[in-house]
Amino acid sequence: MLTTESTTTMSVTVDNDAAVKASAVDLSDFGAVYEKHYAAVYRFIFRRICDTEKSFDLCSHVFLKAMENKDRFSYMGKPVLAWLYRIALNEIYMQHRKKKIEIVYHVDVNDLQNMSSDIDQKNKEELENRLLSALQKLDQQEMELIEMRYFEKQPVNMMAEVLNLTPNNVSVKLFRIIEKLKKMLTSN
Amino acid sequence: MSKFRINTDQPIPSEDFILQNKPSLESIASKVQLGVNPAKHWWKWGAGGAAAVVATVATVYYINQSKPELANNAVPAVTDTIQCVNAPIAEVNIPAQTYTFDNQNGGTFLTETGTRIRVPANAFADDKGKIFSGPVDMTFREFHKVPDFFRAGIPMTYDSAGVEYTFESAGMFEILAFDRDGNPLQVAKDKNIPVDLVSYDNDPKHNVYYLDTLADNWEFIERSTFRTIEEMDNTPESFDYTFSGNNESNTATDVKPQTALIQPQLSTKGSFLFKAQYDKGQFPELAAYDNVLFQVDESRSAFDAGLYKVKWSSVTIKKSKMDGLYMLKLDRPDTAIKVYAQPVFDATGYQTAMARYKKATESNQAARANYNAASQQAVSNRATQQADFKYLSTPGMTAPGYRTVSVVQTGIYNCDYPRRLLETIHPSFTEDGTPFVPARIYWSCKNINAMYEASGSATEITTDKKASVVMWVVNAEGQMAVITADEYAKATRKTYNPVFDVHFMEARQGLEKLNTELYGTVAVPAVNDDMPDNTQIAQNTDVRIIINCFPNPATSNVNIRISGNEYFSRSTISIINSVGQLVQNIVPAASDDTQTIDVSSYPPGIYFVQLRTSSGKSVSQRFVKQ
Repeated sequence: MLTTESTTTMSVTVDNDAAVKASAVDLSDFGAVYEKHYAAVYRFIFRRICDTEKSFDLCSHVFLKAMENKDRFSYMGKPVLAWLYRIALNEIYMQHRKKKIEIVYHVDVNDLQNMSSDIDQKNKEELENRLLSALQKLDQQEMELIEMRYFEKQPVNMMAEVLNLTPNNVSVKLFRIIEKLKKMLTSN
Repeated sequence: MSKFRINTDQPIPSEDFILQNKPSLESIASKVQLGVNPAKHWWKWGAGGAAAVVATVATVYYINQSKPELANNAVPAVTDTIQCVNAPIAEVNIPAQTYTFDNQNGGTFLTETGTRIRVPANAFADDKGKIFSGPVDMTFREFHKVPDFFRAGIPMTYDSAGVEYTFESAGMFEILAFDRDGNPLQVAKDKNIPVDLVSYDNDPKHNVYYLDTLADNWEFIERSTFRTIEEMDNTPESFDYTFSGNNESNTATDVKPQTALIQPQLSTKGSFLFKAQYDKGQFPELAAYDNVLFQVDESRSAFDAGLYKVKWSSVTIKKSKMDGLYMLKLDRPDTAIKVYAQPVFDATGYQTAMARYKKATESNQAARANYNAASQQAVSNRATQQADFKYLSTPGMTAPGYRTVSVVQTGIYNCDYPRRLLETIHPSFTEDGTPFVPARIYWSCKNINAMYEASGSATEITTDKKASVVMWVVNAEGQMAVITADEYAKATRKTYNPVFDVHFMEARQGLEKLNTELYGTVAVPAVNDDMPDNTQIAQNTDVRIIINCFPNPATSNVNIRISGNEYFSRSTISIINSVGQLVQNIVPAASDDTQTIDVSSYPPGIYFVQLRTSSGKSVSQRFVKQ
């Protein structure tokens, strides 16, 4: 147990959420972070590898890393979850580079319909299949953005935080990817 | 070729499923505790790959070593222990002002720079949290400008989620408290000491951070609000203690007794003992002793006997947050382990240590008696200490206001804003043509109140190409050499591998030069009769003023924002149209840095905002009315 670390007493006026964010200092509070965000981080990982077992392993590993580095995390008005997502993403990419996992994006068919309306107004039914194959032709980085925005439905600010980009840049990138998809679909 | 697949069939597990199957936090925490890096050992993939990847920790550690009862004789290793706050040149460190008062009464204090400290009654408690009764010595130092940060050696880097930033500061201070015996006191629970820190920067972007000296990083606390002198509660207030520059009262700290030595203890039989390398200067409570052993505290963390048989390449200690316990760090090229340990002595060492402890305690008592007398005198005189090398005067710098920080814990606070520089240069240095490596390199961009530093042997440092950079280096003899902005610009022009030729001078002269280089020569500031008493203008400083107009193009309103050391209250704003005709003259009333102008009646076209400061400077910016 790490309860030997005495807590730093900082009676700062913070809202509830900030209390969780600001205090990744001792284990009891880390416990709160763990309880609160485990499922979210699990789903984040699952959406990228689509493997129930490995997702559990990876998710535990993310929290382990977070715990090891919790002293380095300082609350700057950004949510803890973004930090955890960023660790998760780095972990997934690293394991993928080491060829230990395969990246498999989870795509919800209902969301695909929503997405196709972003791309084209007509021919919704047959568009879905073509869209799927078009997605397959994207770069992995591009697919990452699409997954976050359209399937995970993350706000742009969160995406920016996780990917270490500016929100504006995220929007621009998304726009370009959509344009690219449109082009792919019309050329077919 | 794509490197991913897309899956549309497999559903995402439900919340319940995830929560039921998630491992307990303890099972994860146990892997952190012994410093075992699980990334190497614990990681396993399904049943098939498990055996191949999992390397059992134990087999690595059982290297044939004998005599577990002997203390581990670690090979001396180079221990790079840098204290968190480390003044580079002791001679010119910022001296503390000491205020002595009775804890039952508290007190209000006004410092040299105008910072106000209001200590409520019974604000301090001892290390056990009990309200302290008796006289308190509160030391206070504040740091406003780049030379102050340099002199105090406060780390200006801020690590946020793995990205390192450097602070742009709107003011920092250090507040510490001690009892008569020199033992540190803490701020009592539920008490806070409001400090109205003088601030020279009214930008709302700054935050309040607290320096965690153990973790060596700043902790974010809250957003910092700036209040002008007018906005402050200016009810006439008598301060119990006011800084008086000519006071030559004795410096009580000179006779301050040494930090108490720890009482020697015998080692427990059968326990795990380690010898550690440490700098006696950093651990004054151990300084008088030789042959200190560190006994692993097994009540706090289980210790694998196998680890004791291994030859560790270095064994270092660090103060832990637990009273009387140290963090013992065992290092090998392949692994590192941290455990709690207690300083102890073996039978022979114990005798010697005990004798030294008794002697030191006696001499300490004598010192205390002197110290008490001196402090009592200080209380009766209600005097504060005279600084040896004072804050350098900065021309034309009068604080426009305050930032209030609630001190709930003694230590260092700042009102800062993290920023990053992104341009890399590879500097090298020569002294009269001979290449040399300085002890440490510092640099600062003019107009940005931030200081960057790097080790003297650093091969690359980050700067800003557009800024005017002043650089200075320190050598091992505690001398300084300043590279002026012009010299810097000359050396870095057309190259990313500049060579700086420097001339070392004594630290005090060097600091004066640095101050002049950053803030201009000391001049009598111009005082305009129209202005409130507390505003003065930096006439000789080369302050760059930037105006921003937004939204641009504008339809109904346009906001004008200025940055730089100027305020609207001292300026006039003219709106000029594209053919040079004056459209509107605005005399801004607020001392705010943003001014909103109604442009709805303007015909569409291009307009210029011209800002003329009372010092005669004029800056303009274009905006478009739709």
